[in-house]
Amino acid sequence: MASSGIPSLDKVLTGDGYPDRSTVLVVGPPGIGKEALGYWFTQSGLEQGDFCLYATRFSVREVLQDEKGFGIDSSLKVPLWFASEGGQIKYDVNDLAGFSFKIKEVLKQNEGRRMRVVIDVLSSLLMLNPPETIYKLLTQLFADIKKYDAVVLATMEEGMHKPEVIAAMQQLFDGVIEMRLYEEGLRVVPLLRVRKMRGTPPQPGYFNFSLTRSGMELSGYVK
Amino acid sequence: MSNELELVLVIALGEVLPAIVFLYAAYWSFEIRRALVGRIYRRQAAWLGILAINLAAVVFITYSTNIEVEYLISLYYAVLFLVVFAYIDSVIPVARRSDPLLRGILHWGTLRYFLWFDAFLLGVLNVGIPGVIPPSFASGSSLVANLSWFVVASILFGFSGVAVYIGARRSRDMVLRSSLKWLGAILLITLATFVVDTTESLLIPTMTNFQFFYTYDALPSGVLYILMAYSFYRSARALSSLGRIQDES
Repeated sequence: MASSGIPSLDKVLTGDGYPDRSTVLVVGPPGIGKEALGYWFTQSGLEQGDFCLYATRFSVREVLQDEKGFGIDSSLKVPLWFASEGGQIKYDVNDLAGFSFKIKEVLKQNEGRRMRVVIDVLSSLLMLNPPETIYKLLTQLFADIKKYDAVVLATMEEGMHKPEVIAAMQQLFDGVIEMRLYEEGLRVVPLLRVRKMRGTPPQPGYFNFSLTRSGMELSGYVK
Repeated sequence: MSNELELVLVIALGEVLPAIVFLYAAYWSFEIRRALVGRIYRRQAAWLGILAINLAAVVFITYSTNIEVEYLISLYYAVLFLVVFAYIDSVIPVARRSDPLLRGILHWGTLRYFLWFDAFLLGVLNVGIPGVIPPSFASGSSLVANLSWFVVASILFGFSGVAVYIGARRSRDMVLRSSLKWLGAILLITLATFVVDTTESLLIPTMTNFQFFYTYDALPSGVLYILMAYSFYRSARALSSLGRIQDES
């Protein structure tokens, strides 16, 4: 198992975190904090000595600034950055083949190690390419990644894609975590639910969550 | 009897209802801000909330005052216009960054200096000529003063409204796009209130502000305030799509 970096989320997932050699998708509206799951996942991996790759459409500086807001100090251990600016590998949204090839190359170079890959570029890829192309690309990429001891965490914006595109993407992943804001009377309640996770039975429940500088706090939601 | 009815209608539609909708919009802005963690969206929600509260206050001040406190209201308006423009000036670069082609919006980088000058000029006109603002506060203000104020205010809000709308259309961030579209609507409705108020102040130049606001003549402005308040509500709600638990459980 690969710890999510958030003890309360690990318990909800499988008891210990994300399943080995799995691909997990985090879906939610912009601004809800999906990236934070990626930050803590990476941080936890680095602390355990795992090799971590972080793919983002932003510059490294922007991501580090955002991480600071969640109380994450990235000054000592950093992942391998696949970013638009400031990273070891340059991310170009128009170079789809290169995107897949570079990830596979990095994984090959680190074969034998436990690896964690965060993909925070899925929505921008889907915005600029036909969904069928991205579906095919991810299917091939995930098949290759699963040859290694790697766990993939990807984020996807809700509200930017058609429901059938989101459904197709969810079908590709072993696990899907949904983060949403719900309207309850005059209150806005942020809730999380695990829509599916390989190796665990479906979980119907919602969880209240709050993101703080010390991590994410989860508690069972009671209406 | 008809005067009483007129008074009740005007107060209800021009004052109470817009203020309630503004406060409701402010409530949702802060509630959504509390639930979000993304800086851009939190900031947008906070601004909307703060402005909606101020506009609820403006509706009450505008309708409840008399000429003795006009100077203070003028000062309040002057500061409010500057704050609104500061907000717009911070939103345009955000909208531009969310355009994948990073296109400039109406030469904002250059024209914003002129617009800042325009905003300050509007403030000076407000404070320097207290009877002028808003133009329907026609007591003691001249035709030239009213028209000058109108031109300066129209440039500021008209240009900003169009710029925000263009920024929204070009943005690939669907949340920001939707919220900014409603913000553009707010600015253009503000411009429409200036048109209505100025026209009425020109048509009825002898009427004082106090008389004006308690007659049917104030109703068009009241309706525009309601529309503006509703746009605030929609702009805040657009910052996050809210699900309903009963729909999905």
